[in-house]
Amino acid sequence: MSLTLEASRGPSTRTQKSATAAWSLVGPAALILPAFAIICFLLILPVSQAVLLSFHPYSATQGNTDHWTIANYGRIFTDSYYLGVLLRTIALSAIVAGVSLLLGYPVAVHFVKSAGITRTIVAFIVLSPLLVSVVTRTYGWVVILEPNGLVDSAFHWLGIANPPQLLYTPAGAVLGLVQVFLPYMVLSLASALNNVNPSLVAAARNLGSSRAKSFLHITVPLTLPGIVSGCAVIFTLCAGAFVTPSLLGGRSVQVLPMLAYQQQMVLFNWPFGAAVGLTLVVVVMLLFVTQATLQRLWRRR
Amino acid sequence: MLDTVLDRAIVLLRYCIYIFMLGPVVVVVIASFTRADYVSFPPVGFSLRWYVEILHASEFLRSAALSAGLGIATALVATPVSFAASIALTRFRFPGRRALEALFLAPLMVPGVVLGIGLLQFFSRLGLVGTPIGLLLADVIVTLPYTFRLCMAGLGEFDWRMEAASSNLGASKWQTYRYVVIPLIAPAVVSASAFSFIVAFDEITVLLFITGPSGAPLSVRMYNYIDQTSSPLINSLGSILVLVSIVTFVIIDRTLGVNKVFRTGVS
Repeated sequence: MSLTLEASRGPSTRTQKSATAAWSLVGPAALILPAFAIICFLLILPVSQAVLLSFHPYSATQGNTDHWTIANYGRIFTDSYYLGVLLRTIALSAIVAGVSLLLGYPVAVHFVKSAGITRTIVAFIVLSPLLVSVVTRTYGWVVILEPNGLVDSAFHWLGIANPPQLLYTPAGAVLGLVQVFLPYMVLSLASALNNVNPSLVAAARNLGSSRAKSFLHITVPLTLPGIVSGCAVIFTLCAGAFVTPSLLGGRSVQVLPMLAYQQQMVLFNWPFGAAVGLTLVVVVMLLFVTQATLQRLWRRR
Repeated sequence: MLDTVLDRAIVLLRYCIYIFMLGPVVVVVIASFTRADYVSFPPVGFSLRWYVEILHASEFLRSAALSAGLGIATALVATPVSFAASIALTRFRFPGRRALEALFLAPLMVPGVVLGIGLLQFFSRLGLVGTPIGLLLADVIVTLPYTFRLCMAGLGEFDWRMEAASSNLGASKWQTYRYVVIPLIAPAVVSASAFSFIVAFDEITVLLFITGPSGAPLSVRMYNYIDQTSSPLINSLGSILVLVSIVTFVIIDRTLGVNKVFRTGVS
């Protein structure tokens, strides 16, 4: 664009043009280089080293050896304990995505329909979990869920003598994770709802369809892309979450990130820890491929 | 009739969800004003005792100073780097721009534990585990996609023809930058710096892997503490962190708009 404008300047156009052309090759390269170097040295290199390491056996006495093996991955998929951890990670992420969808939909509808100060307040409430550090937020759940905490007192007040224990159970982890990730679902649904033509719903209502029916047959199908992408984002984030499940779920919710951390930092089995971490990446990638395929099929229809 | 009942139910559900979203943070803040030695909700009496206690908790203060230093240093590194890359990608047309954009956002796709495992191995060879430089490098790679996205959002709205228009009207290159380009892109730079500060300040998962026995950042120290026990000290510290986050987000909202931070991250 700058070329066309500079052309109007007259005599010096030619030299200006070639100078700009040279700058346009060297300039961008120099501007990109620092970011590119950071990505190469702090992301690609470390992660590829982890990939290589995951194909080496672990030896407590010799350190790392030159042998190549797929035993680390074999162990994850054959040992029933590790397979259980893998399946639990998938199940937990799917449950969190499902619950977030159910809770996120009414909020997203409210957000899209509201205006002015209500909209600002809803936006603030929806985004609030993202404003607070994960440690503080999770600690809030510990205070609420711990024995003699807020939930316990509420049950006692209602006259229930032996209230269910929530802290260090899968339910506790689900609560904490849903709260953190709900904003992503609401944002995803809200952008899908914005694209729904309100006259379609009005037409259905005029033709005698009930509110629930027009919602199920018109709004939901039209926001399907938002539903799918919201669920995929939450599944991904949830499968990789470490702090929330470890503080709220404890040992009862052993998931892949916790297993990877233990192998790496407690047992010092780095090759196996790396294999666990990379299995997590593969699970997430498989989900993304599935989601992209679904999205493409949906568009073709 | 059914519609009215349904409506009421949905409104009720909505309020429950809002309480659920705000609850944990509100509980942390309210419980921080307790007089007691233990954490309870509702708190026992009212006092600022646990805010005063922070001043005596020297190891937490040292961690807070380290985290603040890391946050500032990360902003100073990640913002200019992202800014330069965004200028290249928004101003110039060349093949591979899309691929580079995806590459700079790639750290978002890698789970924290995987990045932590990779960096632990890499840094242990270089002797960087547990050092402030190692922590800084980890914070930079974690925040880079966010600062990059904010710079792209800010520069995406900048019309580079303004630069040409300014020089056509006789402004020198310096004047063009001083009076046209910089004022127009300043909001993006301010929000990117503020956001990278808060992301680096709060980062934990990756840092857990590369924090040595000495010199833990505040997030790591708080995590290790909560994992063992609970104390109103964590409530008062957490409440201060909430305040820091709110101030940061107000800065971002006043400059670039908070919605820009999250909008592109979802699709």
